Order: sequence, then structure tokens, then C-alpha cells
Amino acid sequence: MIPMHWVIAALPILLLLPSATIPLLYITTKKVLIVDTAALISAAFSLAISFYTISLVVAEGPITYYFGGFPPPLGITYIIDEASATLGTLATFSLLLSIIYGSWILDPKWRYLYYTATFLLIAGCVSYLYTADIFNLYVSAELISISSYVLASFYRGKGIAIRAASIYAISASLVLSLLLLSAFLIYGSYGTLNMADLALKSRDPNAEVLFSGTVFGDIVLASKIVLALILWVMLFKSAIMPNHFWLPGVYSGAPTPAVALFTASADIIGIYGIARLFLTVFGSGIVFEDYRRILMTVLTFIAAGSSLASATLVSLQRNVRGIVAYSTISQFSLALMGITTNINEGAAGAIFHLVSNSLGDMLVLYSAGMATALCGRSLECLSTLRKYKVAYISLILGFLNLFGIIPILPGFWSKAILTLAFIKTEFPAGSVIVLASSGLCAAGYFRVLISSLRPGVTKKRTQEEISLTIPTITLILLIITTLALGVSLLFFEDLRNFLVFNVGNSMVDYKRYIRIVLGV
Amino acid sequence: MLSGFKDLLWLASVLKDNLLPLVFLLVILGNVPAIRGRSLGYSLRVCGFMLLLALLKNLNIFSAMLLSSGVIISVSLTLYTPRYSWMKYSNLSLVPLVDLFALSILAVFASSRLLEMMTFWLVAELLGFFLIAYDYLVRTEKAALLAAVKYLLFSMIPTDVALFIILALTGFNEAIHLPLNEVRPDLTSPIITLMLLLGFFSKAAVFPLHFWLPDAHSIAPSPASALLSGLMVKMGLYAIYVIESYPLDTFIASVMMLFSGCLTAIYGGLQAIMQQDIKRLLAYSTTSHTATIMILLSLYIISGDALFVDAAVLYAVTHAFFKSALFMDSGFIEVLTHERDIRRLGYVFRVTTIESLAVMISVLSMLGMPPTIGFLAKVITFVSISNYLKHSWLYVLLLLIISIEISLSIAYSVRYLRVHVDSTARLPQGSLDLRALRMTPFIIALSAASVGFTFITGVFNQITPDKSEILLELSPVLVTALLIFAFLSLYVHEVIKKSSEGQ
Repeated sequence: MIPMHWVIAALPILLLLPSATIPLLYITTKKVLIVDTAALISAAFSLAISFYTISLVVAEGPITYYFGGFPPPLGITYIIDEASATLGTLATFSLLLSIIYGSWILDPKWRYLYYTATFLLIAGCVSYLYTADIFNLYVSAELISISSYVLASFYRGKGIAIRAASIYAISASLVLSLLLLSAFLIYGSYGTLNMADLALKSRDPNAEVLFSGTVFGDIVLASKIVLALILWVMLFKSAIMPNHFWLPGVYSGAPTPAVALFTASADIIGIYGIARLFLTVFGSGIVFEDYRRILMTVLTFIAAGSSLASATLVSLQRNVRGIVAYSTISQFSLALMGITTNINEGAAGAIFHLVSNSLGDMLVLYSAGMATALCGRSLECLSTLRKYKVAYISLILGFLNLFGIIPILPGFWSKAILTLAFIKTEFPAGSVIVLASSGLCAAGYFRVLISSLRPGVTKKRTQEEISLTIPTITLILLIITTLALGVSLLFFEDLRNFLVFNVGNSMVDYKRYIRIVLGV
Repeated sequence: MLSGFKDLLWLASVLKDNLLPLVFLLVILGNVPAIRGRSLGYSLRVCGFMLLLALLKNLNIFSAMLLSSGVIISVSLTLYTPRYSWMKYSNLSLVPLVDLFALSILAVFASSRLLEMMTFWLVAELLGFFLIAYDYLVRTEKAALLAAVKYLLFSMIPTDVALFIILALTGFNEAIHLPLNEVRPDLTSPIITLMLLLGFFSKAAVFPLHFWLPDAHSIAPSPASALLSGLMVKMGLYAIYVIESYPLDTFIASVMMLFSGCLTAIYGGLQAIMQQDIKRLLAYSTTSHTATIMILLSLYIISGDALFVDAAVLYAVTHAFFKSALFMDSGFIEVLTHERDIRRLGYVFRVTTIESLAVMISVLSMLGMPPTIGFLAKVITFVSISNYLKHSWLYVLLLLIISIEISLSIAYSVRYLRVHVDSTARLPQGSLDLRALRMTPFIIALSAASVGFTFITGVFNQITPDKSEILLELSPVLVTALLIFAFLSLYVHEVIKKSSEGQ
């Protein structure tokens, strides 16, 4: 194995390291600047590794890493394919931005705690994306959840934040215990926790794998229970209606950089989990295919309903956080609908929709966060941004990207790929739902945009002395990334093909997954 | 010397390849706040729009005629809007929005590739949303926001569904690289055909997705209404014309287009008669006219006769000219009198006789009098349908419906004319804003264009491959009619003037 592969697969470990050292650094030195620098360097380093990973995956195909050198299904295996590498890059990118922005907006006294939690969150997220082990999946999900409780209750003095974090923490702990239960059930029936092994045995129960042997007992009943339970967990994690109740509270109580981080990491794992488990591990060809098909049909209806209902709620929101919260639910539901198509394009559209939605959310949240810092949270305060061109452009770009109808923005392409998937599966109603919910959301977006366009709103308080260099840098980075991604999608056929075929294929092609992990 | 000439040629070819960006650049430069209201800004914008005419060469007859009429309309609007905006809102911030809106609509007609067309289409829709919501933006009028949201949900989204479906069926690479007439998306599935048609119906405001139009077109600022009614609804018709060349379920398409078209043509006309608000009257008349064009396009599907396309496009151009002129006129009346109710107007001819005369020309174009472009449209419409009368009772029925539509249009155009000329109406005391008279030259110019355009339609025979000789045969009639028309106009002008001086 090439040494660099080791570094890539150890990315979660590299992320855990700063989360441990940063508090120590702060306690020993008491210097905020050192802590900021350390966090920034670590985040930039992890982003660089992610970029290297994705370039390697593009060049050579999926990469695997066996922890402790134990061959699967003995130890924990990491498999980094096109989809997980893409989402991993998104997570580390959002980490970097979140840390830059956090160093501006958060109280220096407590900042080190924020850094610790964010690194922990992204470590969990990356591990979740890379892992090929159900138990490790559960552990990563717990890691993500615990650090998100911390981030959600970061403003300890605020009742709303504490309340939201408590609801989130209690319900998420309950729900996640179902994931643990599923892991037990799986181990009890299949005799393995390795996802590729599961993928193999759910299709051919008689298959025999070195170390784990054959299945014991009734895998069908166990799998049916497991699939139902896991589906519930994943729907909760990605806040698909009616499991969305925790999200709006968390989004309105948490600090801006934390919410922006959530949209790109903690909340996408549900969708990714469904894609991985229902397309790759228990994907087409399994012995209980009928049951899976029923679940997928139900899921389509849930996703469609969730998308339309939350999109309707978007237009009723009174502040930017509320709009972002419900629009995120709506967009996640659309991504879920893409997964239920069961084909390459659907999976690719779903994964890319998560990326484009995060970029849009981050643009909106970071620019609106500047208005909050300068004036306040109400919609009228957004007109303060007219003076700060970069923030203003980001706000407009963010909403246009979420609306997704201009081909130079990634939002257009994710919706186009989703539509392609619906047309290919002869489900044109799906494309109607995609665009109808976009339209309903847009009614909310545009109301915000119009209130920011409106001149002559008096400012409650303006803190001219605040330096805006750091948030401006964050926003410039974001704008460049978003536009670069959209424009390259328009001009580079290879990138489009990579997205539509390779990313989608990495989810749908279970044979390749089994071959790469198990070597069968 | 020779190399200099070669450089010049090279420059010209580069410019030609990148004409759209150049046009956008000129129009945006002309909208820089410092020069927006000055002659430099005006000339930059006008030059920008005029440059679009260089793109005519590669277009089909439908887009070529819509583009050239659109350029004329946009030029008059870019001159008209600053005055309107200044008098109604005391600033010029409406101008860039209207200009970019016009430009993106024209770019849709000028686009040669699907993705290019889609981009400009979506941008145009987006700008249209903000123009409809403009009064909410500057004056917090809730009705404007409601109309805009209605437009968003029932016009934008259905069309976007249709466009995304076409994009998906065409394939991304084909949509980016191949010209519109070379791609072959397979639209034969009945559901797909149905969804596409519904999508484009919603843009053209044809039943069952017509109800957003009256609110949107009457609430938007008048220059925006002129574009929405004059050009934007034509985007829906153009898209239907484009998809007609692709394989699609022709039975469903023709039945749906005929049914919705007939229903809307009559319904829109009846509604227009009932309206008291001048802009709502014009808005309903738009649905009625687009539905008629839709009927002609559906006959093209059924018969495959290109004459129906000629009729449809001439009808569309006619409608674009007179509807833009009339909406500009409604804006003028609104600024002049602060009144939009037909019953309380009628004295406009006492203020400006020549403008009233220009509006009359536009109305005559709507009614199809020679030598206006409306005459050509009506002639070709009736000729094309009459050619097929013996084939099926359907054509008789359609002839009847179009005749009803025309008689309804006579009824409401008489109502509209009463806004201008009502000998019983007296001038109100002191509430008139006479600065509005500065807007009239452009309304007059546009009305005159609907006469002038008749004589250059022959040019399109040379540009586009599908010829219709009927235009050439009519030219002696048209020239004679022009002379009579000019004479009559002078006479009517004298009569009105005398009667207004009598007051």
C-alpha cells in the first residue's frame, strides 16, 4: 500500500487530533490567536487531504484502507469512492469556512470549545462517509450527534438554544439507539458487520466469506426489521418530515457558522446513509427485493410530501434562519426522492443536490450572519448588506443557487440531474415535485431578497467599528467555489460525466463495492 | 493596408461570434447610474438592442420575426421607460430591470442552442418576477407581491418543469453543443407531451393556466406589462413551435391546443369586455389573442402546412406591436391622469390628439385594417384556414371561433378607444400631469412601426427558408392602402382636433 493512502484514510484521526489539542493549547497558553491559527491550519490541512483524496479517486478509482491491517470482514474497513470523497470534501470545506467565520463571530473566550466540537463533528462525518462497517457507522453517527448537541447549545445563555438542543439530544439519542439495535440484529443474523459482506450475503445467502463464514439463521426477517429501523433513523437524521421537528429549533438557536456546518455535514448523513444502505448494501438484487421496493415506494411518497410541505412553510417564515431550515428540509427531501429512483442518475443527483444545497445555505447564512452582527435578525436588517457588496452578492447568489434555475450555478445542475433521473425512470411527476417545491421555496427566498433590496430602512444599531475582513474572505471563498463549480459543470463535459456516471455508479454498483472491499 | 483590412474582418467575425455578450455589455453600460438618463446612456442602449438584428441570419421565420419586432419594441421601451419611471417613482431604477428583461427575452429568440435558450428564458422569468413585484419593492403594495407569487407558481414553475424535461430528454451534452433544430428529444410519451404543453400554456397564459396573467400584467409597471404581454407570452408560443418539430404525441398535442385555445380565445375576449380597468382589459385581451395563435399552431400540427406558421407568426408580431403600444399608452394615461378606470376617462384626445390617433392606429392593427401588419395577419389566417375548409368541419368551426374572437376584440377595442375619445367627457380641473406628454413620441413611433413593419415582412422571405409568396402578391394592395390610410389619418386628426378645440 502506498504511504499516501494511509494519510488519506487516517483523515478522521487527523481531524480528531486538533479537537484534543486545541483545548489543551488554550488552557496552557491562554492565547486566542494561537488557538485560531492552530484550528485554521488543521482545517486547511484536512481540506488539502480531501482534495488529494478526490483527485486520487478520480484518477485511480476507489481507495480502501484496512484499520490495523486486518483484512475485511475482520477489522474496520474504509472505502473512499466517488460519492464519499465528494461529500467528504464538502464536509472539510465547510469546516474550513466555519472556522474562519467562527473566529470572527464567536466570543474569543469560548471559541476553543467551538473548534473542538467542529473538529469532532467533521471527524465523525468523514468517518461515517468512509466506513464500510455498520458498527463503525453507528459510532460515527453518535460522534456527529454528540458534537452537534454541543454546537446547538453553544449559546448557553439562550433559552431557545438550550431547549432546541435538549429536544435534539434526547430524541436523537433514542433514535440512534435504534441504529445500535439494528447493528446487533445484523450481526446476529448475518454474522458480520462489514457492509460489503452484507451486500454479498443479502444477495446470495449461501455465499461463504473467509472469517465470517455463511449467514446464520433467518436473514430475511432480521433484514426487514433492520431496514425499517434504519430508515427511521436516517429520516430523523436528515430531518425529513414528519421527523423534522428538531431542526428548525436547532437552526435558530445555534451560532451561524455551526448552522452552516450542519447543512454540509451533520444533516446530510441521513441521506447518504439511505443511499449507501438502500442502494449499495441492501440495493437491487437482494433476496427480499419486494419488501425493499415497498419501502422505496413509501419513501417516495414521504419525500414528495415532505418536500412540498416544508417548501410551503418556507414562504411563511419570518427570518433567514427559518427559511434556511425549512428550505434545507425541502431540498433534502428532493435528494431523497432522487435516491428512490434506484438508478445512477438519481443517486448522483441526490449526492450533488446535497452539495449544491450546502453551498447555497452557506452563502445565505454567512451573508445574513453579517447583517445579524451589524443590525439584528429581522428581515429589514438585511438591507444593511447593500453597503457591503460581497455580502450582498453572496445573499443573492445563495438564493439563486437554492432556487437553482441558472446554469452557471450548481443548483441548476443538481435539479437537472434529478429531473433526468425521474424522466429515465418514467416518473415525470417527480420533476414536477422538484420544480414545484423549488417554486414554493422561491416565494420565501424572493420575499427575503426583496426586503433586502428595499431602500431606506433605518438601522437599529450599526457597529461600524466591527472589522468585516474575515467574513468577507469567507464569502469570497464561497462565491468563487460556487461559481467555479457551476461554470465548470457548464463547460466541462468530463466533470458532468464524472458526476452523473461515476458518483451515481459508486452508489448503485454494488458488485464493484463488494469486489473492492472484499476482493471477491 | 491589406493586413489592416484582414484585422478588421477578424475583429468583425469575433464580434459576430460574441454578439450577445457585447449586446449585454452595451445595455449594461448604458444603464450605469451616471449616464442612465443622459443621451449617451440612451444611445448605448439603443445601439445594443439594434445590434441584435445582426443575429437574424440563422433563425427560423418564427424567431426571426419575433426578434426583429422585439428589437423595435425594446428600443422604444428603453426610451420610454426613463420618463415613466421618473414620473411614477421619482427615480430611474426601473430602467435597468426593464432593459435586461427585454434583452433576455430577445436572447431567447436569438438563441441557437437549447441550454442557451433555457438560460435566457430562466433569467427572463426571474426578472419578470421582480418587475411584477416592483410596486411591493418600492411602495410595499401587498397586491404586487401576491401577483408575483402567483406568476412564480403558475407561470414560471410549470414552464421550468417543461424546460427541465426537454433538457433531460435531449441530454446535457447535446443541449450544450447542438443547434436547436438538430437535437431530437423523444417527446412521444403522452404524459410528457401533456406536461410540456401545460408548461408552455402557462407561459402563453392559455387555459387552464391562464389566471395568473390578468393580475401580473395589470399590476406590473407599464413598460414591464408591455414586455410581459407583448413579448414574454410569445416565448411560450415560440417554445411550442420549437417542440412541434420534435417527435411528440400529435393527437394529444393538437386536441389539447385546440380545446384550450378555443376556450381561452372566447373566454379572454368576454372577460376583456367586462373590465373597467384599462390594464386588465388589455391583459385579458392578451390571453384571447395568444389562444388564437395557439389554434393556428395546432392546425400546423394537424395539417403540416407552413402557411399556418406564417399566420401564427404574423399574428404574434401584430399582437406584440399593438399590445406593447397600448400598454405604453396605458402607462401614459396612468401618469397623466392618475386614473385607470375606463368610465372616468375619455378626455385624453383633448390633451394630445396625435397620441390618440396613434392609439387608433394600434387598435386598427388589432382589428386587421390595411395597411397595418394586423391586416396581413388576418388575411393569412383566413386564407390558411379557408384552404382547408373542404377537408373537415373542424376548420369551419375554427373559422367561426376566430371570427367570434375578432368580433369580441372589436367590442373591447371600442371600449378602449373610449378612454381616448369620448366627446361627452370633460377635462378635469388641474389634476393632469402634463409632463407625461414627453412619453408620447415613443408610443406614436411604435404604432407607426405596426404600419411600417408590414412593408418589411417581405425581407423575411429572403432570410428564412420557408417562403410564403402571398406577402409579395399583396404588396400593391398594401401600398395603395398606405396612401389611403395616410390621407384618412390626417382627416381624422383634423376632425378630432377641431372637436377638442370646440370645448
